[in-house]
Amino acid sequence: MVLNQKPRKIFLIDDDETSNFVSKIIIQALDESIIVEVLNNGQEAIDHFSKTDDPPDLVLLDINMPFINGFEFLDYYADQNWNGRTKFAIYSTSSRESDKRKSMSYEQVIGYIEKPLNEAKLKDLLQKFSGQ
Amino acid sequence: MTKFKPTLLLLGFLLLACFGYAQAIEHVHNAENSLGTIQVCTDGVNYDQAANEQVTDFFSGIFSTMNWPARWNCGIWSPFHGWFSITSDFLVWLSYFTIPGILFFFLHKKQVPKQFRKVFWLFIAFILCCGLTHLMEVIIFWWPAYRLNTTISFLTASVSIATVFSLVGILPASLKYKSPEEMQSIIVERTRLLKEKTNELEQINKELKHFAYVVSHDLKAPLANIESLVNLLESRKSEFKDGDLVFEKIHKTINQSKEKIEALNSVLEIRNVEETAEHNTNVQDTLNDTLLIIDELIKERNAKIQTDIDPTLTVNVPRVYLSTIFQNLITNAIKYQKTDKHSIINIRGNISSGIPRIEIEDNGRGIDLAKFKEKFFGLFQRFHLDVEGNGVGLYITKNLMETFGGTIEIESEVNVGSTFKLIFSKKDGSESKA
Repeated sequence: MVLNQKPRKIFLIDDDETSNFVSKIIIQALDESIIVEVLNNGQEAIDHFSKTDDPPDLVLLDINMPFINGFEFLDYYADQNWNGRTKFAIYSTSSRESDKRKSMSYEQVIGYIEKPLNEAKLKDLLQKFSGQ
Repeated sequence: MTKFKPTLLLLGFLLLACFGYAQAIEHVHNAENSLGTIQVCTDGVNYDQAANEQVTDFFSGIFSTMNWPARWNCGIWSPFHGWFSITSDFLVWLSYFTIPGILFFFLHKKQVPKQFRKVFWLFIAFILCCGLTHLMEVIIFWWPAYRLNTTISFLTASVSIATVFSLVGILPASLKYKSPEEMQSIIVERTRLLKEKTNELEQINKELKHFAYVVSHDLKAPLANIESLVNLLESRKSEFKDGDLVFEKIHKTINQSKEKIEALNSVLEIRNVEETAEHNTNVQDTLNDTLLIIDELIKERNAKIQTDIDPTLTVNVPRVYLSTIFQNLITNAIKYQKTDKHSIINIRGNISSGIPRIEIEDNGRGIDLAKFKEKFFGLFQRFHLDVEGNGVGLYITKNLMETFGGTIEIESEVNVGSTFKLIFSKKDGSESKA
């Protein structure tokens, strides 16, 4: 195993199309080999995680989504005891301290990114990921 | 209570009858011993006195009993009839003298509206007079003061007529008066309406909160997207004509929008501050820390800050918020200084009658309060457009002061300066700690 571990597969769970579009470009601009997939809301994410044998290594999870928001998804995820390998980063436009604190209170969450995502923020996150 | 009334009445009459009957027996007994004491009234005498003489004669001898026999001796009274009559009138007098007492007690205890007080007093007089006429009916059985009796009747008539007029006068007003049941139903109805309104307001408040959240959050999202798209484009800006300039302008616009939204967010966060804990924040210490934070600005503008603060002065505001308040007010004073003068800012702090006060006085541009007083602490209000600002500082300051039970006032004169007066919530007896 490589010491400087990087995620093989990253999921974007976000209902914001533009944000997904840009984030995907930014991630793949940094490292073409990373697989980036998009799930448009919490419900889609639940459906996917309940079926998949190949969960992502890292998820960028938005808070405000229709139906099931980011926090609700994390609660559900914790209840289901799914593969603990997946790490999460909350990324949202919210700059509220309470949102940041709440995000970091989840065991699987390794970081909080205030949107928009850019190269610097991504690098910082990947560093945290490899440090896990 | 009402259940007993007829019973009591019946009992009273029974007693009365017994008393009359007993007297009758006694009288028959006496009459057996002295017959012939009963006299009969005259059939009437021809009276030839002039009218005015009759009047003077009447009033000059108002207590005179000369011309009449006592009632016992006028006509033929059976003792039962006589005593029945006497006792009845006596009881009427007794109750008529009690009723005014009750009315007076009511008047004394209750807040009777002014227009009804007069009627109450008239009623008291009216019933007293009526009682007196009945008392006279009793007295006359022995003491035939018919003139006095007539005078009292006249007095009663006058008071009665006055009462009638007065009653008619207040009739419209008293018809409007509600019975307790009516009041009760009105209160119930009003309470219901109030509840409805409260619910409505709560709903509106909720919507407003949601609106604020949408403004602060949902506006940020598209802005963030624009920013990231621009960043993407920027990496290829060499392909555009005047690319540098265009991107510079786009970035500036994005930053301005972001700042506005951030300002709004900070306002929202402070509005949601709910604190119940007691704070004892030392004013001098907090000010010293705050001055360090804005040290750069102070030095750059050569501002002079003079303080005169009771070193033991503490206020019931968390340190971080007191610092925010100081920061807002002091940076304002420096930012809006006069162009030809350096800022001199005087900060005073003391406690009097348990109420801590802080005053921040500057020699800046001042503001026309006559024009702007209403808007002064409003959100996004700007008064000097040549100086950069987001229009939230004073709004936040006022909100913070009010959240912690204080107030803020301003005195200002254009081209002379402004003084902000912070009045904090009272310390309940506890000595301020240094």
